[in-house]
Amino acid sequence: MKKYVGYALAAAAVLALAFAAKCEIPAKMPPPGLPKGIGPYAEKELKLDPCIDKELAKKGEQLFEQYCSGCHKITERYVGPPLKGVTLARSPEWIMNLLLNTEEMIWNDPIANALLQQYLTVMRPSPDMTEKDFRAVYEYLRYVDATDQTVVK
Amino acid sequence: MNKGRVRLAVLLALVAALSFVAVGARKVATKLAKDAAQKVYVPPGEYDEFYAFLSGGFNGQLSVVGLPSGRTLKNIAVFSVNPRNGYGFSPETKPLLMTSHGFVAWDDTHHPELSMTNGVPDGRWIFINANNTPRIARVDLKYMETAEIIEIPNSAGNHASSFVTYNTEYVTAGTRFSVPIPQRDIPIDQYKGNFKGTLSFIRVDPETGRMSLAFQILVPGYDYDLAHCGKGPSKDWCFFTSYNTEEAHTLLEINASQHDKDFIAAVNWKRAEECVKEGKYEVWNTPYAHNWYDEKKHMAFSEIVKEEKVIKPEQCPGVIYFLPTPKSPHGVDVSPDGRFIVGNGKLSATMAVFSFEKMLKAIEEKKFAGDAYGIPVLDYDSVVHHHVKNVCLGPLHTESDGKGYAYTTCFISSEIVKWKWETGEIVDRIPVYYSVGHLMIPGGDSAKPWGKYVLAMNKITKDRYLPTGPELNQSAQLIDITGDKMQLLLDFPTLGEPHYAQGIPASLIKDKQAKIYNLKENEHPYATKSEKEVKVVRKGNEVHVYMTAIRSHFVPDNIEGVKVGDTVYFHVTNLEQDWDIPHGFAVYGDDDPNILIMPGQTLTLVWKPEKPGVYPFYCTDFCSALHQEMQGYVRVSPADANPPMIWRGGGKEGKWIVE
Ligand SMILES: [Cu+2]
Repeated sequence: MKKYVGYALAAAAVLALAFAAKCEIPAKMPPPGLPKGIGPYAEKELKLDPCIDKELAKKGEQLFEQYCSGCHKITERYVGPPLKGVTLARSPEWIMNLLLNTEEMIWNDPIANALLQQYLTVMRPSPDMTEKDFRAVYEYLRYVDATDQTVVK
Repeated sequence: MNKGRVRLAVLLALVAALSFVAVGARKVATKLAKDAAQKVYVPPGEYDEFYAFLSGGFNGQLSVVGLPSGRTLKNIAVFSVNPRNGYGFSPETKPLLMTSHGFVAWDDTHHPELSMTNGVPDGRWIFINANNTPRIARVDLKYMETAEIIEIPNSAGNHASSFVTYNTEYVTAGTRFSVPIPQRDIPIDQYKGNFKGTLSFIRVDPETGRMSLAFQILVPGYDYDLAHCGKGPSKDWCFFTSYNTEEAHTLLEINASQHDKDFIAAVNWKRAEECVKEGKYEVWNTPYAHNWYDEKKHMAFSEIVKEEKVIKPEQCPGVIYFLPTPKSPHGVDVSPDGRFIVGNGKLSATMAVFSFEKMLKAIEEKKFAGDAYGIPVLDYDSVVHHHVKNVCLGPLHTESDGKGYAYTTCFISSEIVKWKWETGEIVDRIPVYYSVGHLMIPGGDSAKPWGKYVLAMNKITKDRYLPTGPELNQSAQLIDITGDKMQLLLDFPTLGEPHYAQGIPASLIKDKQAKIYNLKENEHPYATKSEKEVKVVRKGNEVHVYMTAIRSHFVPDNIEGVKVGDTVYFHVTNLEQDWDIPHGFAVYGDDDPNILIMPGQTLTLVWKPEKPGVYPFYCTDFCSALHQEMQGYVRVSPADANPPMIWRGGGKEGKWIVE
């Protein structure tokens, strides 16, 4: 019960903030208290803006196309899991840890390891991708979850 | 030195080599077992201390071996095709094997030499010669793949090759088989005076490594066998041995063994450069191929060049001198300090060590014993520093340990002899099994040897390993040279027939290794950089499939619309950007081997289906847990049919583009 109250409060807060900022695209926020995983964001907080940064999301879409789409689709299973809803199901810190500290995450984080057991392919983000690039891809996935669209318009 | 004792030793070695070898070998092995094992043991997960690069001789390849373990790490196809990855078959790599005689897919590799900076191997490139259809290749040590091949015109039996000057200004090439130059139809018994050799200098671009033929020196029709370039004081010179100064053209075994002395040709390449500057050369027009691999386009290119600068020694005095050398010398080697040059006279038990300083003085004072076709022959006594007497039977090659010692291989008496450069005093000898050819000390022909091991590369294997029928792999032996006495550590079989080899500390190369081809920088004209770009294009009878591979699927994986009579080009881009995740590609009934596509790379397999049907293709490299699922189908319809032109894959379906 307490959890739902928390969700409701969080949702209300986000909505309030979004309205206050008059977002073009208000983001949907993940519920608080999700696990953060293992890695550089384990102890940090990734502060999320209540508004989608469309420019960043556009850049993320391009990077996703180039570096991620060989293995991931938005709505269907491919080599790896479909990514729609991921920004609501996982904390931003967990996602960044998975991208930046993949090897350790897939073997030692219980959620990532369960996914490895389900999909049976080792995830390998491109070594070309920087932390900024990953953040852009994350913004793209946030955009997808906020708008139900896969193309940033 | 007691002559009788040496004779006895030689005799004993001979006996050992020729008859009771097996018994001797086993005794050696038991005696060695304990401390030798520790010296060559590289624990699991740890690395070898040295990279060694062994020529493959008649396999046309270059083996990469770790020392001291003797483990083969890779076999690089240079002058050969490679079933492993489609080298020499794929349109991307085929141009590397083009020559003025067309596509030549085989050769005989002999003498790898590492690029050098100030006389010390720098780990950038390694050069290797093709003996049969004269060529020199450059292997890029970042990718450990063949990067460039240049054909040598006006040459045959490209054996006194590919030796590198002090700062890799040039790679040398010399003709072992003199021929009519330029080639023409004449009776073979008119050899004398009509057949010629050339000593070629290939310029190496210091930044890119790109090779170009700078000049060729036209020389008398002897057999130019081996070479080494000078260092320190002698760095502007290169030395080439010759045999058959008799100019025999038949039964060379006897007819080319008449003279007590043959020659070492000392070439002053700085002088040759001056002559080129002053226009003292002729332009000849024997065509030759120049082939290179474009790292960004993932593709090799080939051009035919039709111009070369030929220097005739009489037009460029001072460019070449002959040093009389006993007898039919094979290898020529220079001491690390560049002061001494040794001719390994394979038919003489005495080796002449020349002094570079004395050579310069003799040239200055014109101490000539005559001339050969106008080339001054230096007076022997004026240039010899000392003789290494009764070395052994059949001395072939010498390397250095950087501590003042030289190590010479002896083919007939199957041993390595250690002696002092300065005095010629013999200090140690060790038997090898059997009939050793070249030897290699890491950096042992450079200005700064890493004198820890010598690797003996033996020509005869006999009973050293479990027998494998009539054909046996050649055998190498690793010997510890850190103590006063050489100590045999390890036997290991090699691939092909290693002639010469090079060695370099692993630390100078290992961190520069490419792990992937960067997909962003892939400029292959048929690259498909994401699954969104996948397409199939028909251009008349050509079908171009722009295909992607990633664990564990190809896109497209269904192709319909191919007809008998079409040529299908599968341009496969590996989308992975992760080290050691290649994908392979093969299609049923194809003539060629598979292609093995490295991460980020694009390669093409060409297929000409001959019968209607549905043909599977698949990934040949076990890449993932779902590797077995990495498969697809091409439908082939009769030539006169009108099938739909479609593809499927990645959950999508597409129509062909018809141009
Ligand atoms: Cu595969």
